[in-house]
Amino acid sequence: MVHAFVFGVVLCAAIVVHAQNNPEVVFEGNGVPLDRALLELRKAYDIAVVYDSRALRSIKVSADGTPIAFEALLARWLTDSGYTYELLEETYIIRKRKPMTEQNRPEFNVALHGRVVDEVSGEGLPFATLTVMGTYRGAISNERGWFYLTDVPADTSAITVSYVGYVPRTIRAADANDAAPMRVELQPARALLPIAVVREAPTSRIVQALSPSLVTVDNGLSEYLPNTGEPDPIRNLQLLPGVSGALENSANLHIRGGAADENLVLYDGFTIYHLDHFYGLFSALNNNAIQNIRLHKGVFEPMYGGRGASVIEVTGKQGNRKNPLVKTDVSMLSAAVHLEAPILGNRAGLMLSARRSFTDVLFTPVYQNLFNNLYGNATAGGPPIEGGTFGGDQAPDFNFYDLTAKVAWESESNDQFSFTVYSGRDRLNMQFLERTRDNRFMFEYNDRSRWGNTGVGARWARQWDEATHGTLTIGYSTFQSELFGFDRRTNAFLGTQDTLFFDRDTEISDLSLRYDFSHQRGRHAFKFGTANTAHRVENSRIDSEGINDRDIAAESTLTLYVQDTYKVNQQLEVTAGVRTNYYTGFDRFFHEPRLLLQYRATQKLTLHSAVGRTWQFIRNVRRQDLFLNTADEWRLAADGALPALVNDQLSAGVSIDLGIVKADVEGYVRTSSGSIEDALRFIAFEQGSFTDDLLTGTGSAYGAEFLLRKEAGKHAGWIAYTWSKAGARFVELDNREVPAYFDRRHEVNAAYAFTTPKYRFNAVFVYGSGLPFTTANGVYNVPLPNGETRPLVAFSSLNAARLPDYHRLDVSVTRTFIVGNGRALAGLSLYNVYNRQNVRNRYFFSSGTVENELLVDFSDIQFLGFVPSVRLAFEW
Amino acid sequence: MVRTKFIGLMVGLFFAACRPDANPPTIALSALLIEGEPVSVNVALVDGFELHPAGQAEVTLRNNAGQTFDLSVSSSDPFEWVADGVSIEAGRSYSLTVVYDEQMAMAEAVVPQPIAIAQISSTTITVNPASTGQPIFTVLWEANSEVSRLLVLDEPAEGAQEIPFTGSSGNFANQFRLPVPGQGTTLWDTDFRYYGLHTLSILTIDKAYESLFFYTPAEGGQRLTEGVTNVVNGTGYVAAASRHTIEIEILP
Repeated sequence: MVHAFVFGVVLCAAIVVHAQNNPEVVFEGNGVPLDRALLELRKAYDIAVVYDSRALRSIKVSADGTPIAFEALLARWLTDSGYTYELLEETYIIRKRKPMTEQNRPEFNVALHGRVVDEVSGEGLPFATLTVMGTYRGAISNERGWFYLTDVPADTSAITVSYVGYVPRTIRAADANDAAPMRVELQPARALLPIAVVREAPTSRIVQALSPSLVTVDNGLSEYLPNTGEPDPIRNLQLLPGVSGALENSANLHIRGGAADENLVLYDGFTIYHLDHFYGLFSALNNNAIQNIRLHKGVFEPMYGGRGASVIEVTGKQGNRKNPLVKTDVSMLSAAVHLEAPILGNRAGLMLSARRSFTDVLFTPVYQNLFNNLYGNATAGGPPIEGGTFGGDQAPDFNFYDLTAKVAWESESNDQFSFTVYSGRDRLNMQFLERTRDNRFMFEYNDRSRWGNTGVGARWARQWDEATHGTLTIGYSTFQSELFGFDRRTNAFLGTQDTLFFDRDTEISDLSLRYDFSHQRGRHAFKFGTANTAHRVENSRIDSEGINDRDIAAESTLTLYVQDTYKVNQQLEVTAGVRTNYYTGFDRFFHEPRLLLQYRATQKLTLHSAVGRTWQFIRNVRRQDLFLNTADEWRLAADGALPALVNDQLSAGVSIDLGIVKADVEGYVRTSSGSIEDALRFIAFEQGSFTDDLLTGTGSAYGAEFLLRKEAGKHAGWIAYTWSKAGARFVELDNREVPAYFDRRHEVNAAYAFTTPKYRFNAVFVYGSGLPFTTANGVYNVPLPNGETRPLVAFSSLNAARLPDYHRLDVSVTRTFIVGNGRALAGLSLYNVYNRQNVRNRYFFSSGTVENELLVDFSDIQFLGFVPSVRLAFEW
Repeated sequence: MVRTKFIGLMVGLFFAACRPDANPPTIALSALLIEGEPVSVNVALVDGFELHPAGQAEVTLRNNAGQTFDLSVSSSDPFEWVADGVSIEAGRSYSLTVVYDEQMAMAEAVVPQPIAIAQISSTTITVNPASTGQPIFTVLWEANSEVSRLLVLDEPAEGAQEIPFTGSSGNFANQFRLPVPGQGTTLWDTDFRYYGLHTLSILTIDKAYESLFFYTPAEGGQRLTEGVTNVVNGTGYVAAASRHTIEIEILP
């Protein structure tokens, strides 16, 4: 079925008819402004015309409805108007008529270079979009905001510069000074300071698709969208099609059939391995410190790689170059401070952002509710229990913090240096008692946990000339997770006690050095680069069942890539390239060819398709642990131990501009080899190393994604629907398809925003069909030769059953105030307003025996119920 | 036309997507394949915490000699599947497959070699009812760390005369409910309950099957696991054994 869908999209592409030059047109009207007349003709006949609307508005034209060639009509209308036209590569350019001398001859096919910057802070805006109006031509600025736009039809052309969360701006090619780069300043639509009047212009606040499978979401939305207490830029991504948003775990992004570890999170050049705070409640990325987040999903350009499903590219703020800025945030869980300041005579910016929870000193009701739910999810194992972690004398000692600092300095010679430090940590010490409702069992829990990520990145970027840019990046990242527990269970009826202890540690570190080089020449945009990353992973565990393992692995990857984006003509853009990795774990090369096509059939219809391969050498092993949620066991692929993951993906889609509403449809098919599954409960293995109970198989995923979005205006929002299927086959499990634990057939994500000058109302609705789980079908008594029987629980096939559907509605309202010289933002967020008891997982437990028959009961682990939260932010 | 086809494609995709994901029943099977004895396999479908016969299933036994035997439902028990004319051979491996509604459960077992008796005491024994317990029979076998021994005692037929012990008697069932470690074992007079001819079976079983005897299900309040099973894509256990029998005559 999905194959048919993909071919259907391709078929649509094939039947699009090219716009015809100089078509015969019919126009009837008297005294119509020329810009209006041209607009009607463009719409009716799909003619590419470039002109200055304001200049042509004063020219009135008439026609009697007789069929006439477009060029003849144009020539008639422009007679004595002072304007003329040129036909250049299927585009009519209307320009002022001038005497043709060498000095003032209008220029055609001009090239522009310059930089897009934030009007308030002076920071470069990464990945801004420049589009030549009336044509399909454009460019994207690089991560520092520099752009090089070639093939601009004429120096009279108008160019729209846009960036998510900023007010778009139109510039004229003629404004460029040959000798100096252009400086295009954009005003942030969400600016709190300085107090600014946001111009009435359509602002792309919600989502902007830049190229196939590449999405940028305005992280400023995090300030307004409903949340569980903290602005979370990563949760915004979960509202996009193809990204599962019904898991309530900020780190667990499941993109197009990929496991969570198949997403690479790059923060200013270094990797973040653990993306969340507070057991996944919200992202460990501090929204205040982020300038831009781009999600590359599916098939991405060869310059990106290392993971199978996506790359989440986070660019940190560089610091305000014009004015000092201070921002503070207080929520019901934490307090944050954010500082930006120009230093070294405005050539450098300093950014410092820190956030720490006060959950270890102040137990707000919201925090207690959240902690009991989240901690219960992480340790769930038995029947419902009375009491809670805050019920007795002991209370959990839990806190988290994150700190981000960045210094960026620009020389007069177009060199830029930046240095970023990030550290995020969660820490928990707790001891508490619980008992079952019948007082039969009493549990004593003692847990000590630490987990977090530290990263350091240094960059030197240089704009060698207007068309050539290079970036050298050194990144170091380390993630540590320590988990120690000592639990005691007392059977009050029998007077017996049994104990359980475990100590599980994981540490992963990587050091990488990479150089990325880009050069534009004519219609070609070349990129090539190299990277060398050294990984070290250490896993150890000791427990009361006699396991005592320690495993250390170190491997490195050398990567080379080359790619070219070629604008074949105004409509077709092809990006082709290859990424080659030499991985020491297998001592051989792995190649990743990629091809991305984008065809702008009309100004309102874009078709795109991509095919490519990715290799992944670092894996996160998801254990079917019986007692603990230990998701952070990272492993390096190695011969005979753990396979590398290889994904091949084909995607095709269409984007349609329906005026105020835009629609995107995309389908994909993905196959993979090297899928892994922990079969602890399903296959008997000998005790031994960490990996001996992992099954290796082949996976497949396919799906269709639909997105309908209205980006601008008082009422804005989007609806995303994803149909998907993901699974894997393992020889040991009879080669049947096992649904992936995140395989969700239907998912709907809808976001709505209503904006007034003072208030913003937002609502988010999420629906997801049930996730797979392994259920118990009953009990089967195996007879023994000695006359006894043994009751075995008959579990279903792995992930054969489905949990109940998931849905929830969140709403929020924010208001901005002027306070002295600054501004304040107050927000109220209501998460899961109708308190839907969504089921995260279902566990089975023994409720005793009657006449040697084992009685089985189950317990549902639930997601968060209704969570109200308030937040205050001040900026001055 | 193309738009119509595209919409049709999307509608078809939607309805295909709406088919519910069924959770099929779990195939459960248990069998003990004993050298030289008839084949009897218990097959059940576990669904909704109930057991159902798998009447439409295909149950097949194969050995490593390339022989295939189809099993059929017993006339007396809808859960029992039997095969006529099958002779289980020691040293041979057998695989049992059950195919039901596109599901296939499978288990393998290797029949151990029969026991090699090293020493045995007299098998005709006079028991004193006044005894409070003393050893009366010893059997030793050659060591083999790959297998375990399970003892099963068949008592005389109904109507046999009970031994009038003054203390406890008939302790065999408690004493030998688990596999016997070491290279031999000793029976005491109080292990017996009746006068008459008893049959002592020494079953040679593999170590994996032994784990089932020591398996204890979760206590109340404990989270459940599947436990010990060698059935892939199902539950239960398929084991193989060889049996050595010794007749013991208990006299007054």
